[in-house]
Amino acid sequence: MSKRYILRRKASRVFLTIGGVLLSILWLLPIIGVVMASLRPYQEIVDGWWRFDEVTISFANFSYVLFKTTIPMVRPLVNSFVSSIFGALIPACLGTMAAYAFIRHYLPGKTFITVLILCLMAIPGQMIAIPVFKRINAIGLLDTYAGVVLMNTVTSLPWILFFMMNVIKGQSIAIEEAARIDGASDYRIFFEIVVPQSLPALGSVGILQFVWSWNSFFWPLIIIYDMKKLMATQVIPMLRGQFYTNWGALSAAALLVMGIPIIVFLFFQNLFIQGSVGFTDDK
Amino acid sequence: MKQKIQRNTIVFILPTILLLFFFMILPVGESIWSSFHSNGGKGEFVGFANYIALFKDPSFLNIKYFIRGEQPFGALINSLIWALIHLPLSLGLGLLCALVMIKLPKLPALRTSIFLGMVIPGVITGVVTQFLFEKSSGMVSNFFGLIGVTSLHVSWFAHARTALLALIFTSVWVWTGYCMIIFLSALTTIPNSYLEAATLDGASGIQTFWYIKLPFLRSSIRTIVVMSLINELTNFDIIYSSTYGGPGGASNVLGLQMYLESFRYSRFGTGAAIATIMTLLAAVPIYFNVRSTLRK
Repeated sequence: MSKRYILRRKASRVFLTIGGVLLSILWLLPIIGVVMASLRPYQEIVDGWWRFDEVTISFANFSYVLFKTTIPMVRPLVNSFVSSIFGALIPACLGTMAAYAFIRHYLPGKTFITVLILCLMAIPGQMIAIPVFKRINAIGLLDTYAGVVLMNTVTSLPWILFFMMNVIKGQSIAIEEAARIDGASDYRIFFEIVVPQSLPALGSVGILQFVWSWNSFFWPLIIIYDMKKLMATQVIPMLRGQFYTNWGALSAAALLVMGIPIIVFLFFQNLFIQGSVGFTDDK
Repeated sequence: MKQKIQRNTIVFILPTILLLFFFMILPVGESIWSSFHSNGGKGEFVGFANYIALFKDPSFLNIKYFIRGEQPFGALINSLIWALIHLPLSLGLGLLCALVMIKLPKLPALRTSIFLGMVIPGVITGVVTQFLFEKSSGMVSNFFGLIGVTSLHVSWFAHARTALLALIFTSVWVWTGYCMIIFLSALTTIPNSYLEAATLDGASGIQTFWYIKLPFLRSSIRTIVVMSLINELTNFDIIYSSTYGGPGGASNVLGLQMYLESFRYSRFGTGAAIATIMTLLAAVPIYFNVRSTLRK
């Protein structure tokens, strides 16, 4: 019996491994398709990128979308990169400060604040789009990166608050109280005790928020309209013609725009996944 | 002892409170307000006129075509269909992936490749979908050609019947990764002793799943339902960059309709009314989420 049992377990293990590998290859195929289409000439992939009768690898599509189209991609990529850094740092700082005060300081109506934050997490961008558009216009931030950073900051504050409040709640209060007895100010406690303890969580916030700022499309679409100021995600729909689409160029552009978040994700996988799990799960 | 709010507390929370108030809380109120006011002119109060006009607008709700089973059904029905198909599919596939991947801890690259879709921008997902459902170069279309289903060996986006489905399936490709990692993190909290005890007692795989694993997954399921419903009802990026609601409105959804009304046709009252309806729909899952959070 035991021999058969071990054999069966081994067989099911092999079966599982094969199944897992097949699943992950299946999920990768669409991205592989984009890579193939960006590297090979149109005639080779028009009947499917999986045909390998003739394989020519060239980077012509990349140099075309980066420098030669009506909207060279270099500038939008830089625009997106710089504003995503601000779109990650500003909400991470503001949100963590507020989360600390919400948890550790005296404030009336804390339950109300928690409920409000949970509700704000669910407000669709469309619900605030029209008034925000008018307000941003009124304060002169229309068609500026500051406007985009502002909206990426505001819309991310609810989840960052929620996430960081959970993190700070989980930290031991004893050290903070000891420091307070020793006469440390709120600011010293925050910067020298709370922030160092929260570093991994702050890393998650920063990484996730950078990627989400980079990926955001709705706010740039509404706020930025000058062709010279476009964000990377805005260029993609513009490359699609109504009657004719240059698939090679579109794929190359798509690969450039998704390359940054994918690289960031691959480098900081654990932080990214902890953040993705933690901002919705309340333990 | 009566406590007072410290000056430092204000310094810590003020920037966040101000930003949230002026760019989120107040705008929500303003949107609701403008949904009850006329589109053009002086913006006088019109009561529910914008909402009534919306429900009579076939691009928002087209019951006649829906009964006939012929697209366009209108944005409202399409968004609901999206949720109805997308949620169970991504939940089920995510669970399947999680149950397989939890047994393969030494191959983390497999999880990574399934999660990758969640990392890329929504507008790129709209491009990816072309590589799946285009007649000559799309994998799914060609797969159906290969197994002899010629009616699906077409460009799915060119046909009213299939355009929305193509988008939904591509979105499932993305969200399976999210569901998988939420389930994975819950599965790792199950104590090993539980699973060992079940094996010793001779429990079958299905019994172990039903009686031991599933109870641990309950809160994950709630999380996923809330997060994906919000996404399903407010979807915009992927549709904008692939079909733009076409052909003939067959893949139009609430998010896109709201954008078109407000920022293409400058009908702010109508746009605000659609946004309010979207938010009311999204409020249903959030209500349950808030209730269960408060219980703890």
